[in-house]
Amino acid sequence: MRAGVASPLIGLGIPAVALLVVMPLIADTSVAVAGIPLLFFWVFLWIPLTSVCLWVSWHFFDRHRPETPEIDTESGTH
Amino acid sequence: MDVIVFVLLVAASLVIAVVVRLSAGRTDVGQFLVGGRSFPGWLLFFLSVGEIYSIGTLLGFPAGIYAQGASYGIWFMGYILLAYPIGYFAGPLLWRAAKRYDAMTVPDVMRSHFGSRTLEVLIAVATVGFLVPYAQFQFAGLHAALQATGFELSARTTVIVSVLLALTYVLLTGIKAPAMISILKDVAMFGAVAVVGIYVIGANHGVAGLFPTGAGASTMSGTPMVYAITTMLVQSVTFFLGTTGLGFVIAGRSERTVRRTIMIQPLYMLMYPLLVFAAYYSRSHLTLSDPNHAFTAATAATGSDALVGLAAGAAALTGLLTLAVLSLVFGGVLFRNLLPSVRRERQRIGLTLSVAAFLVLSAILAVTVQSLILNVLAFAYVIGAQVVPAWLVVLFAKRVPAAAVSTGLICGLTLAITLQAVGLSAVGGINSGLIALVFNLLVTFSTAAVLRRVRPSADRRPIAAAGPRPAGPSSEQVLDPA
Repeated sequence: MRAGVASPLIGLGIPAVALLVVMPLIADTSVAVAGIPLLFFWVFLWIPLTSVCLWVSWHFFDRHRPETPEIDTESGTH
Repeated sequence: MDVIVFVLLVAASLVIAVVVRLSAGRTDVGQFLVGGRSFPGWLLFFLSVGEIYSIGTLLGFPAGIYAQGASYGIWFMGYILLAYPIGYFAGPLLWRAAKRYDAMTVPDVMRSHFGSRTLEVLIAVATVGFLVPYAQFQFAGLHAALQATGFELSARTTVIVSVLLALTYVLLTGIKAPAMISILKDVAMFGAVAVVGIYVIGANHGVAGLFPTGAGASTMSGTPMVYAITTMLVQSVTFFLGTTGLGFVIAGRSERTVRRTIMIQPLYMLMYPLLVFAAYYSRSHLTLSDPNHAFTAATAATGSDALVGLAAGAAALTGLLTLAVLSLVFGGVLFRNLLPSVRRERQRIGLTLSVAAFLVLSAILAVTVQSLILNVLAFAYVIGAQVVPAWLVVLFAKRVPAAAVSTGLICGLTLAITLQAVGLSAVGGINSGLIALVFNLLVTFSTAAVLRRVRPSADRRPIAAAGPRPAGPSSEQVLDPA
């Protein structure tokens, strides 16, 4: 899969589906995990998982992208 | 003890501002507004995560759960959480746009990209329309924070003290002092939330009994769920692509700095579960006359006055820092976009005066229309959302002229203001800001389609398609009569 598609699919698509599509499906249940209602447990779970998705996008796709030449590098030089 | 800790925290913030000023040397307008675009990742991180632990987080979020149950807590966490993946991809493009056009404000970007003074002014007006009510909300939060410590200050005295403190931060160093002070604020807030969260778990012998079982208390369905999901959607998009998102990224050194900083920001929300536990503890164990005290009441339940002072001080600092940053955005928009004829050498003085004027104006409104503050906050967000289509065009579309963006913006703003004016913050559960945003998008792109047939104009290269580009004016930029 091309990086231009895979990166947003993983970094944005997966958290968006988890929070906007899956969450409503489990929002009205009395199930609890470790004493926490499933609805809250699911959102809590996606706090670290969102960063994991973004890290995957960064580590496997985006960190290899060159800076746009017109723009500064990390060193701050023009 | 709570008052002593509170005062010490505010005093420490002033010491930081003075130290930053002494080490900064002479600052020009660029350093004043955007830190000379030289912030390292760690400083950009603290500046841009301010929204995660805002005055709304410490006071409004637990208050919402206390008063309204799960749906408020879910959309509040959900929109911030979802904003970061959007920011990870959009943030570097925003930074690139600002760099390409040498812009410091959103209207700067619009003027340079579209070559349209009309659109620049419209975006500037929408920005001010967002900033003023958002500042009013900070004043209300500051008053609630002071009440929590037992300070018997009137609303009027609170806003006067707040204006003076926020002015001090800004006038000393511009954006840099608020960025540095936000580290102190976050340490204080982390400490307070961690201790209170752990305390309520211990006092309740675990988390199981904290959550009530009534309908809507810890579940969502029907209209509240539709409202939560649509609010998450519109506010997460507006977070970076609204009127103030550029400010979260523009001070960074590079696109890579922006991306890497945003990547780890969701982890900063790991304290949220403890805030949720504290809110439900208050809901199940305490009877409060004012839901805004849900967190501070749980803090008081620990029996530690110092902790109450720490929590209230952190909440007050975050309100003051937000006011400082908002006033800088206002000053930049006023002098760069609404009054651009002011000579460059006078801009710094004008900026200082406008920062003061903004704080005083917001303070006067906060005192006079305080009872309407929640409506005013909703109003701020629906206004901010109407800038999203303009950003989408700048970043991704090449065949949408300024006239189409301006028409969409006017229609979106008109619908948003009308819905708010008649008291419709939601229609059938759908957030009215989202309804106005969708209308805005439809008008923008359908107008563009019509204009292409009637009056073809040159395409503009969207920011996302940018490759190497020489500095200076581009032949691609065609002055649009709109």
